Amino acid sequence: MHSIDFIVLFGTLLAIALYGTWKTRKSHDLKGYLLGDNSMKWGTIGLSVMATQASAITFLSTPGQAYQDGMGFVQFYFGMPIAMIILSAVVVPLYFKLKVYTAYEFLEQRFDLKSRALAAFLFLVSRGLAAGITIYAPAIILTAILNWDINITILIIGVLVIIYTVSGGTKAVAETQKQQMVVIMAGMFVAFVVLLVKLPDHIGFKESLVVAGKMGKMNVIDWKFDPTNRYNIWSGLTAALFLFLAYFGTDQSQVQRYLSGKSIKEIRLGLLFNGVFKIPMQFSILLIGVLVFIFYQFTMPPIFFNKTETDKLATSKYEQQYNELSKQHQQVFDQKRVLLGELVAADKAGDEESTTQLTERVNKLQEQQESIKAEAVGLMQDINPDLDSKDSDYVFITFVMKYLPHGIIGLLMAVIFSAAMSSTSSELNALGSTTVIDFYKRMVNDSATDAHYLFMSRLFTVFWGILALLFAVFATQLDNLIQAVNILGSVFYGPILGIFIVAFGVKYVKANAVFVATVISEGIIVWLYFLSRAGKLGITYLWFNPIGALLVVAIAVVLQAVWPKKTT
Amino acid sequence: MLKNDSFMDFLKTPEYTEAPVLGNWKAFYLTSIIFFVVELLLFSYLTIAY
Repeated sequence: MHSIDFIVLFGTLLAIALYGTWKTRKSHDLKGYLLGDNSMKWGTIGLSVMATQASAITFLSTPGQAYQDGMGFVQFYFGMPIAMIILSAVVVPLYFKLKVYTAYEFLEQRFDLKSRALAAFLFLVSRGLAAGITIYAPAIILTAILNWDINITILIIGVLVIIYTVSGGTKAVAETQKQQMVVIMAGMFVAFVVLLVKLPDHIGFKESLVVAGKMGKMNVIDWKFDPTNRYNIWSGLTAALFLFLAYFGTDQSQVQRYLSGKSIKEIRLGLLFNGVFKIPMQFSILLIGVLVFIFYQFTMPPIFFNKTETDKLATSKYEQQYNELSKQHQQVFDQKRVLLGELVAADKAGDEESTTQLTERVNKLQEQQESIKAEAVGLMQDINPDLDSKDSDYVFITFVMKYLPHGIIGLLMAVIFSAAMSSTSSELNALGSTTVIDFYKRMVNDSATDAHYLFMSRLFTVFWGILALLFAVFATQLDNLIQAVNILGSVFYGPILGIFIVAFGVKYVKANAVFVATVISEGIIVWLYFLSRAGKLGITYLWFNPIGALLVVAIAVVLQAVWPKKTT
Repeated sequence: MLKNDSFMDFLKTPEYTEAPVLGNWKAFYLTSIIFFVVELLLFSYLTIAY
């Protein structure tokens, strides 16, 4: 990176952090700190909700995913507009009128303390550990590309976030997220324009779509129902709908964003804004990935995008094999580039026969290129058995570092760091709130002053921030823990959503029935998860959300019917 | 603050029911759905055309 990139990167990050701290320096009471004085308007809520969901991995992985598998990932977000309407209509007026600080507070009002404590505990465990991964996951990729010490990357993200989140609370999170979203949008727009400029003269935007389509990257919608395929329209409209209902309706890191709204109207508009614009945003990020794919059809790509690993291979005992593979890779690339030129010309001339033939030949060469890469990965795994054979997370950042002009590289790095900071700040803010409201104030000390709870909120935010940093720093030595966090994320949401569905809609079910139903359902989901991992169950994790939620509802209803008097 | 059973009764009070669930909001919800349908049509077109 050039010094101008560092100025843009650190200038942007520091300016946003300082602005957030300065703008919210008057947060002096608990309501102001945790609910932003209920002063947020719909634009701020909408951007804040979007920024919370968009982590650094969104901007590192999503273009890479499109590069690898095409546009189909956008279908994952199809449940979002429907989820936003359901939450706006049913959940928002309830939370707002009950004046709750956390989503879990509501569960005690509907059921009892143990239901509230269970949901809050599951949130703290899963989100507390996930906060560490939110910092760690981009840090490991940036370290491989930038050759920075991983701890420096972790500290840059973590320390700034802790400072402004602790200082200004919810309001600081929302204010900084507005600026961060502006940086993110601007950066991605610039990347899109630069990509178009960098394509060869005879390849415009339309030709790019033609080539992408012929090479199987424009599969935006898949109408075939297949529970083993994560991304088709049916899983997006059903399974992902449940995931979004759980995430936006019961996860405090999101609920806290809109609880800070000025009125029900502002909150609803903010959520609907998210529902309308999230799909185009993800579509645009994926389209950037497809354009990067097209770019690398005309500019020689590396065999494997994780440079640290290819460098190791190039200086290993396999040097000769690597050089041979590189030569083959270059030859296949050259042939494919020529054919692609002919393919574009044939398509323009409307020559269908030639187009079909050329498409077949191009795709065959693409397969050859993939098998050369697989051979190289095999050699790399011989040197490093722990190697992740997937390099798609490195595709976009490699393109940025190698082909974008100085200054713009700094801006794109600011996009990635801003995204990491925006989601981390929401997580820490929500973890601090839940610890104070659902545990400390409810179970430890319920008669202290407002100033005391404000102090404790700040203290717990610092505590979670430091825990996230430590987790990120030591994550490289905690492989099993990272796997455990991923498991928690996949298996908790469904049953938690089930508790809330019963709370909202099934009056007949009381506290004990729902509690036992949740514990049983959670056990079943964990069992299904391990069956799925062992390859004995042909469904993807996304389906655990509806299954978990519906299991809780069904079991709770049955339990309540069997023991109507005992389960009160 | 409401506790347990009284919570369900709260759902029947004007304080909750007067918050318009559909009412004035029909237009906004419909607009979201229309946007979504337009997006679906556009994506279907892209899938078929390319």
